[in-house]
Amino acid sequence: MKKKENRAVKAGGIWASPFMTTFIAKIVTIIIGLMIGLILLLFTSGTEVAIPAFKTIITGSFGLVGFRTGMGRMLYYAVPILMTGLSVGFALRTGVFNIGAPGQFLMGLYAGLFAGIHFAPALGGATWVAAIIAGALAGGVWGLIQGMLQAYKKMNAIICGIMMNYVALYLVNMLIRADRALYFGGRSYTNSLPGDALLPRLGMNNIFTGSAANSGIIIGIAVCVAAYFILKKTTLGYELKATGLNREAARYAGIKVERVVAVSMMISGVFAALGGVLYHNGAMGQKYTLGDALRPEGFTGIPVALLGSNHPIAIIFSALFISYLQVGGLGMQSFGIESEIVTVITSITIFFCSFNVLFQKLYIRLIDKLFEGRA
Amino acid sequence: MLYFIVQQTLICAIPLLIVATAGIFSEKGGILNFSLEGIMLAGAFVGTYYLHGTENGTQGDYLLALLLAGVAGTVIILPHAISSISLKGDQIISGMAINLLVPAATVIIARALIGRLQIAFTNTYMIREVPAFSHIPIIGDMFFKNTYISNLLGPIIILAAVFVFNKTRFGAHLKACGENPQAAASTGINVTKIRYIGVLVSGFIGGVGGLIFIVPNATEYASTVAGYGYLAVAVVIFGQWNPLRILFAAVFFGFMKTLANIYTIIPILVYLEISTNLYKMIPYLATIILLFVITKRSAQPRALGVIYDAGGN
Repeated sequence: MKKKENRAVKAGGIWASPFMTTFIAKIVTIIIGLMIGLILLLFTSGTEVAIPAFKTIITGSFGLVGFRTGMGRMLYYAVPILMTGLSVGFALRTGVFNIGAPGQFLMGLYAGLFAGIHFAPALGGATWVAAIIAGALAGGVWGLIQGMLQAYKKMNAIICGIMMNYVALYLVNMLIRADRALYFGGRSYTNSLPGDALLPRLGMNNIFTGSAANSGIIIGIAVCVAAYFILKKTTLGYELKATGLNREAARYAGIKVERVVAVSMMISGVFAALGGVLYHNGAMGQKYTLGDALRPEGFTGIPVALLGSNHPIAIIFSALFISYLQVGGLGMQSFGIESEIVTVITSITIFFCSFNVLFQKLYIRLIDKLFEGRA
Repeated sequence: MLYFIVQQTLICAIPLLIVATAGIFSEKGGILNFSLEGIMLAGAFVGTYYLHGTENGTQGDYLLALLLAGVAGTVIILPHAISSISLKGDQIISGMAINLLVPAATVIIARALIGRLQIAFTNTYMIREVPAFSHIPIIGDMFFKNTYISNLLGPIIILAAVFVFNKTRFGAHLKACGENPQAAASTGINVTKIRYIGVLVSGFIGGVGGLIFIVPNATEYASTVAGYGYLAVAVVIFGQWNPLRILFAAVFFGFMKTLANIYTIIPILVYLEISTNLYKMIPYLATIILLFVITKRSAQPRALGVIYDAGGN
């Protein structure tokens, strides 16, 4: 098999490169997801509704609302899932599944809200910077607690993440309810942020008219690039990846594995929390609704990370893609279909991501067959 | 009052207990089952849809709905089984995919079936008094009044699980597959088959648990089981894959949940003026603290979540 693959790589050229293999495997998973989504639509709504509805999803509803608005919405909704996706992906590089992203997201959201409302009188136009810093700190602390429990107390990563999520949920509810500046009694949602606490729009409201696009996406992409450099160019990044590839081998090589896991979770927490701040402080009139359910952005980070193969740069594209589908889902209302259809598509896509290795093997075999004669 | 607290605790603890038991059937065999939330939802959806169509439902209808819920759970866990066992995929990812898929898919299907997002049903399934048993002092009032037939299922399922794991050949084989599949295979056990059975049984019980959560707690299915599936994953680990410890863990979680729901009727707790969110937080916080304090060697099946390759192609 090994020899065969080598031959195929030589003959197949670029088509057999690791990048292409992964890329094709992901495309196949996306197509399967879309097809199953279409089948569900056909069964539940009949052909007359299903086909135009499906078209709307795959054209990102740009046809309905116009290119500029559609584009702007895509950029706007990409921000939170870009950050939670980066969070999940970054932790996975260290071999840790960060189920705690929804909790870290909430901690960031709360800190951004707190700083945005309380610091605005003192800081004025710089409030939004303080909100981002506060969010990052809160998420970092929350992630670090989780990371230390996992690393030093050998606590199961999944149980720890689930528990920390719900503790965060109720803690945030409690803190918001106790704070008159954030919340008036009797309502189910928080007060609006002052204008100074909102991220600058940088004229994006003129380019992408009718959408809430703002500098959040630029900050988000910058953070992804920073994450790329941490992984690629720093000693810490090397230790993170080594721990992720083989924890025991990393330990023998003298890497303090526990410390690395805790630090990785801290950074991962910062990323998820930034998602909370950049989303909530991103647009006018955003209100956080208090309730007993975790926000979905944290969970959507999982498909984003998996589609992006946990690579910080690839995650930018997978977040934009899933956001594109979600914007298409927003247009579903006019067809009498719930926007959940997009969740169906993405969840089936990540289901098939779980055996991506199989797709890659099949693809290599196919390439091998195609180029057999030339080798 | 005490009776009321006990009954409320049971309502919270029984579904947890059943769904956590579902979890160990899969995990004892070495296949992670993170999909319990999705499985519960599938069971709850199909079960309530059946109850939605019945008027003046009898206990027989309820039992049939439970059966259908179990079948739904089995069907929806099948992809997870194929992915984890036959295709050697990542077990957390396929489980998580099911958790994300089911609530979204049921919303769309519910809309198509009945034109609404919630599936309502009339709850005629509470048993006011169990004849004969309800006259036993104390116990009669606690367990045999205002109860549900499903409350009885909890203890039955846990006892059955204890029996299966400790007294049957299948149970022994399942545990062998979870501890060391290579060794199990070398003694002639069909690892693939045993694991499939374990995961499918897990789906069945989990689906039943989903409906058992809905019926006493709600009057409709609204694409949520309030995170009980995730909580059940925690109960499994908290109970260290041991059915009797899981019983304890489920009752503990159930009691804490109950406290969060009903603290307003307990005078001393009202007097303390503690936020309701704190009570809601307690079960989760207590779990972290308990796991922090008890640092015993984990009883996790050794091959849990490890991809098993039988070798050859």
